Parts: sequence; structure tokens; C-alpha cells
Amino acid sequence: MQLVSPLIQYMKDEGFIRDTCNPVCYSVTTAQINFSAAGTGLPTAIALNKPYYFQPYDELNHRNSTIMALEVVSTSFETTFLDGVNNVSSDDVFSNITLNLVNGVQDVIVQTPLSSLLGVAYGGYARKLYQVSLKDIVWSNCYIEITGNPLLLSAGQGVKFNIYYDKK
Amino acid sequence: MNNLVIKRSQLVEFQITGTPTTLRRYTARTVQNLSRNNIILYGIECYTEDQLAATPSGGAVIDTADASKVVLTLMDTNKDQFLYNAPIVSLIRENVGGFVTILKPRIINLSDCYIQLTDAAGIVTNESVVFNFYYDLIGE
Repeated sequence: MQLVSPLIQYMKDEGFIRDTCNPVCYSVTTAQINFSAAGTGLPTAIALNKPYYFQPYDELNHRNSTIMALEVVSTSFETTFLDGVNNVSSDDVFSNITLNLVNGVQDVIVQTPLSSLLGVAYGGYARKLYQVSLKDIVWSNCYIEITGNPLLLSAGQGVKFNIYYDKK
Repeated sequence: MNNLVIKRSQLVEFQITGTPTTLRRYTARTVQNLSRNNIILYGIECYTEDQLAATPSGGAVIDTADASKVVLTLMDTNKDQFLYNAPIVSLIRENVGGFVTILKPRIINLSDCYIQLTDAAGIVTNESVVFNFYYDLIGE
């Protein structure tokens, strides 16, 4: 028999907490945002405080799935992606980028630096994968934003996410 | 063992305006998302410049070495200081094995929450201490 405090049970029932484990989900996919040279006028040109939107991906929209966990792909996992684009130069760069998850009426539901989405050891400490439970996001409204030093990024680099989700 | 599930989250900046001074209360910059007193806070995480190089509004984030000089007080809508002078070092995930600090869910009043400096040496004017508030909306 396992004793569980009423508070812990309440928070589990409300979906505030979950047992610590790797994500348990139906599907996993990836999403990538590539940067291009500054000054070209492209939507992916590197600039401070500019939103870089994800490509529309209907399967990740709230009507079709619930995102259960998110992870940014560490430079120690992949230095170059399948399309030939390079990952950022080091994991330290992720502290300069913020992720915003947005719903259908443009409310920012989740705002977090990418450094918090690293699933690997960072700064000598093990990091747990972020567990999210997002029921109403619209993927094409979601974006990342460079809030730190844009000079740490260059054309030909990109950021890639692993997205763990349950289909509806 | 349990870890936090993110329902909603929002970055909140506590900016150290003017000459950094001990005992002075530095309140949060207004966040429209959290301003209606309908926020149930159930988790909190602190960032220094190692995790967040600059705030979304362009401000500098406090140096990691200075984190041990800052304490946080959170107040709910009954003016209960349910988190009182908590060192922010223990709210940084790297320091606690990657876990997010989980709180008993409370309806908070953000404008009553504040940070204080226990030592102002090395703190720079207009630096911010940034927290990620994990919350839910009443009735959602």
C-alpha cells in the first residue's frame, strides 16, 4: 500500500504534477526553425526580439493532439540536422532564445527559455525533460524569439525540437 | 517522485531599479496575463543569466554569482505571505536536480509579491531577477 498525501493526490487529479519519468505518449515528431543571414528581409533573418514561427503542422494543433512534452535537441545529440543545417554552436546559446506557445486567440500559454528545455546534462546538472500538458495551442501561432545576443547565431544554423504528443 | 506539469507559464521580471539597496522591496513588472487575480500559482522557477541571457523586454538578467544575495516573497489574495524571504538559489532547477519547485496551489496577487537583496554588492542597477510562474486559471 502506498500512502499519498491529500495535497499530492489533489495536485495529481488537477494535472499539476505527474510521476517523474520520460514522456509517455502516442507519437513523437520534430520541428525545426532555420536561420538565414541578417538583412535579407526573409522571415528567418536573424534579428533580436523577432518572432520565428513554426511551420503549420495540423497534427500538433489542439483539435488533433495534446502536446505532452517538449525538448530542444542538444548540440551533443545532433550537430547537423538531416537537411544539412547545423545546430547552434553550443548549448549555452539556448539561454538567448525564448519559446512561446500560443493558442488560437493569440494568448501566450507557455513562455520559457530554451535552456530549460534541454533534456541532457547542462552546467553539470542533470535536467529533466519538460512535461507540458497543452490542450489548446495552435502550432503555427507558436514561435521562438531571440532575447539575448543575436550575434551568437548565424545563417545556416537552426533549432530543432522533439515534440511528444498524444493523438485525439 | 513527482515533477511539475506545465499547464500555463509566464516569465515574470523583478527589476532592481535605482541604486541597489538591501531591505528595499522590488516588485514585479506588470504582466497583463497575470493581472486579474484569477491565477492559481502551483510552481515557480528562477532564472539567472546562465539560463536566460536577457529578458524578453531586453533587460539584463542577474548574474548567477549574485543569486545568493536575493530572496523572494510571494503573497496570495488574502495578503498571506505564503513564501517568505525564500532564497532564489533554491528555485533554480540546476541547483535542485532539475526539479521545479511545486507549491500548494494558491491564488496570488502579483503586485504584492517582491524580492529583496540581502547584499547589494555586485548587483547592477536595472538588472532583473526572472521567474517562470507555472499557473492555471480559476475554473479552467
